[in-house]
Amino acid sequence: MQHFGLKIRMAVVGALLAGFYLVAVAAAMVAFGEGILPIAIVGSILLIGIQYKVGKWAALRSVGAEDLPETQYAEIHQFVERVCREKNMKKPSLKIASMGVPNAFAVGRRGNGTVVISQELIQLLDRSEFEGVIAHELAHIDNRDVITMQLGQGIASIVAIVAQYIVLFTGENDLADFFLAVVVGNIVQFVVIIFVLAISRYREYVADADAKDVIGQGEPLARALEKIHQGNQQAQQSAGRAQRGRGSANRRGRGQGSQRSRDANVDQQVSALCISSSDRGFLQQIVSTHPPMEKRIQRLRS
Amino acid sequence: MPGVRELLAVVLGVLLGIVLIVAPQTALRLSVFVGPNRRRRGDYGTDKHNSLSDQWTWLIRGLGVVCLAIALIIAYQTYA
Repeated sequence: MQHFGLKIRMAVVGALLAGFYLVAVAAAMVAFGEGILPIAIVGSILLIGIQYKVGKWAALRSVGAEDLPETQYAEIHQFVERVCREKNMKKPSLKIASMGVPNAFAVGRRGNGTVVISQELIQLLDRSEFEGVIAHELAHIDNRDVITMQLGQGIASIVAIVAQYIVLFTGENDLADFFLAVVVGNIVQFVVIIFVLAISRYREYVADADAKDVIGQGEPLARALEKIHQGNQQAQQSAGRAQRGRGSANRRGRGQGSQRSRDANVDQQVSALCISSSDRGFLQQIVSTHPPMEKRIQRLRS
Repeated sequence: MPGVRELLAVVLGVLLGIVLIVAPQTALRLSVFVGPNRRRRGDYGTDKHNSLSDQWTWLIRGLGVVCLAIALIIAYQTYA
């Protein structure tokens, strides 16, 4: 059975998410009566549907994605058509955008998906590496990962709203109750999103494995990840050097550069204070959408 | 007489306020206001460079300060 271990973990986390939702609906029924059930179900579907539609539109708009010209990028279109034929999937629309960094992402669902590729990615990777990345993104659409994540996000919203209203309507409506409702809603959504992000990390491994199957080997995608990782590290180092340079100049002037640099690093310092793995802090790991790059590369090459 | 709700409002409010001030990026990443598509942006295959603008970071810290202030007001009203 393919990805057996991952499927088991997905099932456990998925069951926990479903549990969060059911507990929220049950609690709403206890607090507001059984009449709330149809409202909860219709409201959940509407909320998730709107989040999905708005999310897709906003993602494409935010990067200024444009159609990938078939005449100019015929090879990419042909590769995507071939993979889609193998997966018995409708070809997603392909778009290109200038994102400033090598990147690619998939939005939408199987049958109505979109893959966005950055110009920087096309420039950086050779053909086989690029095909590995595209196969990975197509796997996300094929596996309905975007829908799954949206569903998880929707559950987090619903559970938070229910928790908020229960606290609000079971209290005396004073400042403490109102504030407690807002705080509890936020904390509850943080907890649920941690589980959603765990699902996201598992699905990255699955998409990597599927891409490996499609292109027949894991090496091209592993190489692509390495190239992107190294390129980004170099870009970060030069940006850091430039920032330190500006910081020194500002210290001589107003001293604001170093302050901003310190502020931007607060999250990283917090991560470093937590239980650390070899490469990333525990806090950073649990709020990541992707597993550590090194582990992905290792799995692709194994 | 101060009850459990007041105590929870103060303790959880202070806790949330501190998290928002100290780790605004993490807090926003865990928020439903950042959709799955936005959360996954950044360098390909990582979450690096997926940081929010300075304005967003300061807005979240501002909310943290507001959170702390309200928690302190409730504490003062309840226990002073």
